[in-house]
Parts: sequence; C-alpha cells; structure tokens
Amino acid sequence: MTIERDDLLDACLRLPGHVVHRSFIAETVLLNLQTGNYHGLNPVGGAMLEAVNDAPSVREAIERVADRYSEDPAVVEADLLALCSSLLDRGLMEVVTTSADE
Amino acid sequence: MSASPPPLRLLRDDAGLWPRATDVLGRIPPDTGEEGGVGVVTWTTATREEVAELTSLRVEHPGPIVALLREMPSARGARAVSALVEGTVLADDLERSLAVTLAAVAAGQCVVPRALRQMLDRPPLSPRERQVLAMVVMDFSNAEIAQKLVVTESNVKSHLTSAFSKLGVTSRNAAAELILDHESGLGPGILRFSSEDSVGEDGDLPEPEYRLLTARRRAPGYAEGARSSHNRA
Repeated sequence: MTIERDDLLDACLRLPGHVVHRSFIAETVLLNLQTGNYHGLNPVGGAMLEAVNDAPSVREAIERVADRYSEDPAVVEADLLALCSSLLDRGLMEVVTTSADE
Repeated sequence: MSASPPPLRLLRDDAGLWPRATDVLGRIPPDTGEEGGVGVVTWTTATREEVAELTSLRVEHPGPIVALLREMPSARGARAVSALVEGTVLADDLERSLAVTLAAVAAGQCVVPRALRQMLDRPPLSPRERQVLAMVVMDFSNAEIAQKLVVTESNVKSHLTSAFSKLGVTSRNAAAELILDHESGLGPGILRFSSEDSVGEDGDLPEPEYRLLTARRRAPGYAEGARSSHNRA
C-alpha cells in the first residue's frame, strides 16, 4: 500500500481488529491474528506506535514523540513515516480517516 | 529374530547407563577404535547441554550414533534426538530394544521409540487454538483473550486445554517455552496458519528472525527511531 507523504501526515491510523500488541521492557510485540506472525518494535518504535494509535493524525503523533524525546521534529517525522509505511504494508495498522474524508 | 550387537564405541556415559547396557547385551561389544561401528551416548533426558555435545561427537565419531536416555525427554528433547541421532533407546526399554536398535542402526536404519514419535506426531492445531496460543505467548490472560477474540472465557480455556494436550504440555509457561524455542523446540512457526499466508503477508520477511529496518541512534533516549519488524512466527 502506497500513501503520499502529505496524506499520511494528515491520516488517522489505528491498529486493526486482527492485531494485538503488548509492551514489554525491551520491546513491543505485535501479533497478526490472521497469520500468526509476530512483529517486534524497539522501545522507541513502541512509543511511536502508541502515539500514532492515540493521536488524531500522524502529524500530531510526530509532535508528541518529538516532545517526549526532545528530538528535532523533522528527524522524528522521517522515522515515524517510515515506521507507519512499514506497518501499513504489513497490515499492522490501517487508515481510519484522511484529510480527504473530513 | 536375534540381533547381535555391531561393534560399538562408547562416546559419552553422562547418564551412567553403559554398565547396564553391556549387561543387557551379554558382553562388552568390541570397541571399534577410532572409526566405524555405532557410537553410543547415554544421556539423562537429552538436555540442551547434552545435545550440544553432538557437534564435537560427530567429529570424534563420523558413524551413526545411538542415544540411550535414562528418562523420557521433553518434547524439545524428543525432537532433538529424533533429528540428530540415528537411534534412541529409553532406559526402560533397554532389555527389549537395545540389541535390535543397534543392529538396525548398523544396517543403515534410523530408530525412534514409539513413545517419542507420538510426541512428535502431534495433531495439528486448529486456527483458533493457534490464535489463543499466540496470545498466551504474549502473556495475555484468558479474560483478555476472550475479549479480543469475542468468545467466552470458558471457550478460551477449552481451546487451551485442547492445544496443551496436542503439544504435550500442562502449563502456559511450558507452551510458551516450546513455541518460542527456535533452536530445539517447536519454534514460533507452529503458530503460522500456513507458509503461504506468511509469505503473502510479509513477503520480504520469510525467515523467523529479527529484521532491523531502521537502526540509527540520534540522541540519548531516542534510539533507532523505528525498528519495525521482526517476524517471529
């Protein structure tokens, strides 16, 4: 699945019903219940996942992560968009709404 | 049929079964020296440490190896001996099975006790059992699993009971250990619905291992941005 950068920034992403996740000390594990596949995120990746899953848009999630880690938003944006694309490609997140829906 | 033991070579007697084995055979079979014949190891339950010795034993003895086990191994141990040695005899079966096993292995056969094979030939898990087990591995409670899968808690317990029986385990921890053990357990692949599913879903991640997609460390506390996927099943 390919989604343009601007569309992705404005999109609201959520974990789909067939995905469960659990945060442990060293990692966050996602389980795709449709395939039985596990996927792992390091702690920062886990924090990004939580932020994206809670925020009304990816853009908002970027701000939250940048604040939390006192990191340059541009740097966070690149990493977070890459993570979102990867999760979307694997069916581990889904787009709930985009700016075009509003 | 009478089976006379072939030349034997004792490689390890970790379980102390060798004297009893020679008693059972009625004599001490000739030691073949450096090579040839059937190598014999005696193990307790084919523990990880015991099985790990096989690499060096194979160098020491390139011929077939028969393992004598003092006790019934775990499913992991059963899987290991079945895959890694040519013959296995349980201590309780020494009188009945040792000579014929040695003869069969010397003749090029592989011999696995029926009890061990039954541990390996487990019935397939149903898709729902796989889902429940997969969540058990992630430390979800029965109530959480029931909520997520939209079933009753007793339904979850029923699936777990059935799955445990098929895996030959009696606890959640034992099931998780068996499933997550890449080296010698069943491995997390047991939770896949099919190999086709996983390739279709994660076409670039066919192997059950960590894949670091992004590995950059830019600032303290902000490590590696987004390591996305390790595919553990």
